[in-house]
Formats: sequence, structure tokens, C-alpha cells
Amino acid sequence: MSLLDDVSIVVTPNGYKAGELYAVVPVPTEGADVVVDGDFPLPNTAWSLTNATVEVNGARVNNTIVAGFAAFSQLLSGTVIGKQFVLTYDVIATNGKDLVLDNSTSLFLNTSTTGINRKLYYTWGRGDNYLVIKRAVADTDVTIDNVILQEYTAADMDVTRASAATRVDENGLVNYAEIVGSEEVTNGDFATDSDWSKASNWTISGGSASSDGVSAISNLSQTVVDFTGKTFLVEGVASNITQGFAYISLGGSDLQIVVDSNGAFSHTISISTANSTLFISARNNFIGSIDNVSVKEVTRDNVPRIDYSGGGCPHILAEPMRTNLVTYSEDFTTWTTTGSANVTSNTTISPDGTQNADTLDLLAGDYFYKPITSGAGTFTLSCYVKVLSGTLDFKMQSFSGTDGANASSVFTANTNWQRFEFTTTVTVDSNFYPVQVSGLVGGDFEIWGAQLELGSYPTSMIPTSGSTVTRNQDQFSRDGISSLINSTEGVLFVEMAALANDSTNRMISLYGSGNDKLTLFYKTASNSMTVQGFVGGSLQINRTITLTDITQFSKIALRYKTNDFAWYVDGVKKTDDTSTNTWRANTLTKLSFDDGSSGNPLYAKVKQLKLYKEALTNSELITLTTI
Amino acid sequence: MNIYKLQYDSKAEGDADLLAKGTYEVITEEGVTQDVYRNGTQAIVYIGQIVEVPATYDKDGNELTPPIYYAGVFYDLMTTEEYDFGINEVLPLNCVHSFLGYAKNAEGTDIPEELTIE
Repeated sequence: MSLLDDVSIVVTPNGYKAGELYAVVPVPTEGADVVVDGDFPLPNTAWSLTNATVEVNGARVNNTIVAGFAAFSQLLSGTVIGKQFVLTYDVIATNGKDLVLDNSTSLFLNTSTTGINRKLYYTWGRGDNYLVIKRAVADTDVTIDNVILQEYTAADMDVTRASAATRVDENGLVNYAEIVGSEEVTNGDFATDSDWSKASNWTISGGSASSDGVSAISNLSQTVVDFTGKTFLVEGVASNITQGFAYISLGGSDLQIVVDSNGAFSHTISISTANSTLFISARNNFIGSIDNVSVKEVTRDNVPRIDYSGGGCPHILAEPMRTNLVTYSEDFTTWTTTGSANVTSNTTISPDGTQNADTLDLLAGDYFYKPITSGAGTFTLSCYVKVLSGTLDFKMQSFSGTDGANASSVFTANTNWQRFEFTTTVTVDSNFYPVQVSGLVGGDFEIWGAQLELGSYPTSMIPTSGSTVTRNQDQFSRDGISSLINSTEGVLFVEMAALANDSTNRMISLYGSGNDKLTLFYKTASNSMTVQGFVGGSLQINRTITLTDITQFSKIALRYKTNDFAWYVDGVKKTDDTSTNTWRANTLTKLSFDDGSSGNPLYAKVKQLKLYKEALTNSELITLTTI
Repeated sequence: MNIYKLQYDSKAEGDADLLAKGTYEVITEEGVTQDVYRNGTQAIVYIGQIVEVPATYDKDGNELTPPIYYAGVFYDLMTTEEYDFGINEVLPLNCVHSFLGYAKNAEGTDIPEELTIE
């Protein structure tokens, strides 16, 4: 038997979208319809009605005449609790109001407009088997038809971060994790003289749009898409510029992209103003040509990070919330210098691939630092540093009149970008020195991406430009997968590394409730890991092991079965237990990168996660976990 | 998404108000006490004191004159929920903290992502 034959969930750094990390296994499937008479035949026998009627064209929820609760419902047979479902429906008539599914949380059906084959994916949240579709607000009058409810089997993980975040991409560049949408511009290559509104001094010919400079201001425009509240990648190519410049603007009044030199341009811009027109505005009697104009929506919030730092195969990056206390992470001209120390802006291609790294000329006896309102705590200072040739030594340091100086050991910068880090504890607001050469020689350093964060280890780059900036915590979970978790026996396998050996609990869990859960976690003791299994509130499994270094990747497998628990790491059995109970069928319903209820989140690099529905043999576990 | 900028007399007062409003919960598990976000809270950032007049330093980095701080301590709260923080909610014109991807001065309800050109 192949080790993949009985696997029910496989999660790897693979496909994703904003808010979702796709599982490799299972392939999403929709089961049989569990609703009776979803097409609402007359006479109605299957549905219970309150301020609702079954009519020729479907079920009508109407509380415009009799105010108050209005719903239709049905008691479903079979097991629904702990499962995911997809609800499909047609909206036949509506007065513009949405209906809502009476779940544990409010799940809205999109019924404000008519349409067919609409879908709502959700995890069953009620404690019983009633499907209840009801009004959300007063004065609702909505008719829906062809209601189909199918179990939806998938292990795609929900991803929540609610802020942007950076990662190291496959080319080794630091950039935002983002989703770039489809092309919004029509005829952006100006292949034909169409689709654009032109002022008199704009012409489209020869595969580009050109302005002749006759008018001081004139516009080339196209209605594209509603830009409001969205972020866009705007790209194009400028040529033959001899006078003035062009503004490129999404909507006309938000920030504008200045095009005043020949060559390709690429900008990411976010829009707040309600407008849908793309303007290319010739200014100062602009003479020049624009071509290959492209506008694509960019989404950064909640995008899972596939991170390539460290080289080799990528991993899923799960980090804690951190704030970069350095207010200008890429502009060092605002930092304090003493003596002959000097900063020159934008001299070098930085680790983000653009020319925005600075040169710091710093000799022994001079200083370069940033006073920061840090307060007391343990902080980690990090910065990318390189030199143009040879090598140069430097230190990193904190300093205050109260604590004095706390300097790192000597680092050596070479001609490759390296991110150096230094963890220091201070008791008051302090000055922080990313490059300090007291007692050394000094010279010219290329610097970029300074970061000071409260914590004992550095996290991914948080760009700043005028304020401190917070990246929120990554959260991964998938609920409603009782059909993919065999609660009575199975194997949880994960290949991962902790971000730090920092004496905190960081968990992965198979969860049913606070009383029924299997948790695997990095524990507070140094380089230790623990497995705990609570069955009906009773601690049935409780083992702790010590690894050499939890920040290095390990392949970890847990086998759980009545009176047969075993724990393997990197091909070696670490511990077992022959007197354990496990859970009743369908008890465990959720896979989560925390303790199951949002506590003790996992901060780690995860290369793969697998769940088996069968207790694998010892030899299979050795094979599975052998490096 | 909603972003609130909050000012309290002390961290104890701020923590208590945010706890009372249900933005987070204090749990103890495995001997470790931690704050767990609840009810749509995405982030609670304790900013602490904010400098109104910066300190001055000599050439070696020694402080010559201390900074002057605004009264009280400050928090930024990001949440999907709406709250009434009363007099504790402030509307600064030049904020010292932001969330990655959001405008520096984003405050209030239904905040769009940042206005930037990179």
C-alpha cells in the first residue's frame, strides 16, 4: 500500500487565494442533496413555514404584512453537525433584502437581486439538524427556489491576517504576498484606435498613444472598473518623452503616478475615491508616448505566505503579530548621524529588487542611530546590510543613559545582502544602532529594511514610511471536516520548524471541543514538544519529548488508536503508550494551527501536513518521517 | 474593517476596558496565561506613550533633554465589530502607528486599504 492511499488531507505550500490555502487532498467534492422537496412542489409537506408560503414558483419569505420572524425550515436526516455544506438556490423574486441562514453565526444568502445557481459554503453551526432559512431584517419579501444542500468535502484552510505581509519569493526577493487579478484595461496595447476617449492632442496609432504637447493639460481615458477601496497594479511603457510629464490616475483625484521618463513603469496604488475611470493625463504640454497600459487588482489582506527564505522547498509561514517600531525602514536620511557619518539615498538595488537601498558612510568615532520610544522589553533589531566590495565588520547596538550600551558581537558584511539581527533587552526608551563601528574601521555600508520589534526573534520584513506599522497574526484553520478526520484512529503528520525556541506554547490541533482534542505543540521548555489528547475531558495522552533544535525542520508523526499511541520524529520512535482511549466517531471536526479555540497559535514554518484515516504501522511511520 | 484609535489614562484602564467590551479574553492553558482575541478582533496594538516633543541627544547619543509625551497611553484596535468607546476614542491628524496595507491615518469604520504609490 502506498502511503498516499489512505491519506485524507494533504496541505502543502501550493495553490492559494486571499483567505484560503488550498489543500492538495482531498479534491473538493459535493455530496448528495440532503434536502427533501427543495423545488417546493405543491402541496407542501416537507417544509415548516412561519410567515412564509410555498407557492408555484418557490418558497416565499414575507414579513411585510405580518411583522416579525419569517422563515421556512426542515429537519434533515443523517449526520450534519461538524460538516461543511454548500447551499445552492435560485432567487426568483425579491424586494432587495437578503435572507439569512439560521446557523451559529449569521450566514447571509445573496437574495437582494434575482439570479440562479447561487452558492453559500459554510460549516454547520447549529446543535441540531434543522435547516432554517429566514428573514434577516424587517420588511423582507423574497422568493427562492431549487434549494439544494450538499455536503462539501474539502480541507482548504481558512487564512486570516487582515493585514498585508511580506515574504521571500522564489527569486530571493522580499515582497508582499499578494494576488494579482485579471486585466481590467481594454486595448491597453493600443492595437486599434478604439476603446479610449481622447482629447484633441492625443493620437492612437502605431501601437501606442501619443501626446503632441499642444495643450497644457489633456486627457486620455477609459472607463475600467469601480476602483473604490481596492488596490491595483498599474504598469505600462513610456517612450519618446521630450517635454512635460503624464499623470496616470485611477479615478482622477487619488494619488497619481507620474510618468516623466522613458521605459517601463510599475506601481501599486490603492484607491478610496468612488470612480471607475482610468486617466492618462498629459501635463505641462507633455510630448511622448504611452504603451502597454495594464491595470490589475491586487489583494494582500489574508493572503497566505509561501515563503522561500532559507532556500530549498518553500514553506507556509505562520507568524505572530509584530510591530516595526522603526518609522522609516527604507529611508535612512531621517536617522541621526554624528561627525562625518553620512547617508546617501537610493544608491543600490535592495532586497526588494528596486533601487531604494541607501549608502551609509560610517567611520569609527561617528554614530548612526534612531531614538525610539520603545519602553522596556526585549527587542530584536534587524537590518539588511552589504558592501560594494570585499568585507566590512560592524556591530549592532542599543544604548540609553539608563542601560548604557549593549552591543552585539562583530558581524561581517560582504557583497551579498544578508539580514543581520540582534536581540537586546532595555528598560527605557533607547537609541538603536543597526550599524555601529566603534572600535572597528568602518566604511561604506549599503543598508535597507531596518526593523525593531518587541520579541526575542525577528519576523518577516514590515515596511514603514512615516509611522510604526503592525502586521497582524497569521491564523489557519478548517472546521467542518469530521468526514476527513477519523476520530477513532489515524495519523497526524507534519513537517515543520518553529520560528524560535522561545518558551511559548505553539499548537496544531485536531479539535472537537475543549474536552475533545488532540494537540501537538512546541512547549515552554527549551526545544521541547508535547502531545496531549483529551477525550471527554480526560487527559488520555500526555507525552513530552526534547528535540535537538526545534527551529530546524522535523518530520513528525502521531499515531492515535485505542491503546496504541506512538510518536515518531525523523524516522525514530520517541515514545508510545498502550493504555489510551480515543474519540467516538465524528467527534473531531476541525484542523487548526492553534489550540482549536484561537489560543496558543502556531508560529512556525510548515512544509507539509497530512492526515491519515488509518493507524499506520510502525514501519510506515518510519518511512513517512525519514528524512 | 474598523480601526479605532484609543487613549486611556493608564495601561491597566485600557486593558480593562478592552476586556470588558469583549475584544479579547484572558485564558490560562498549560500554565501559560495569554490574551486571545474574540468577537472579530484582528489586532490590539498597545502603542504606549506617544512623544509630543522629541528628546534631544549629544553626539554620543546621551539624552540632553527628555521627550515630552501626550497624556495617557494609546492603543490601536482593528476589528470587524463596531464599538462605542466614548471619550476614549481619539481622532488624531497625524498618526504614529498604522496596520500594514492601511493608510497611516486610517481610523473609523469600513477602512479601505492604503493610499500609496510604491
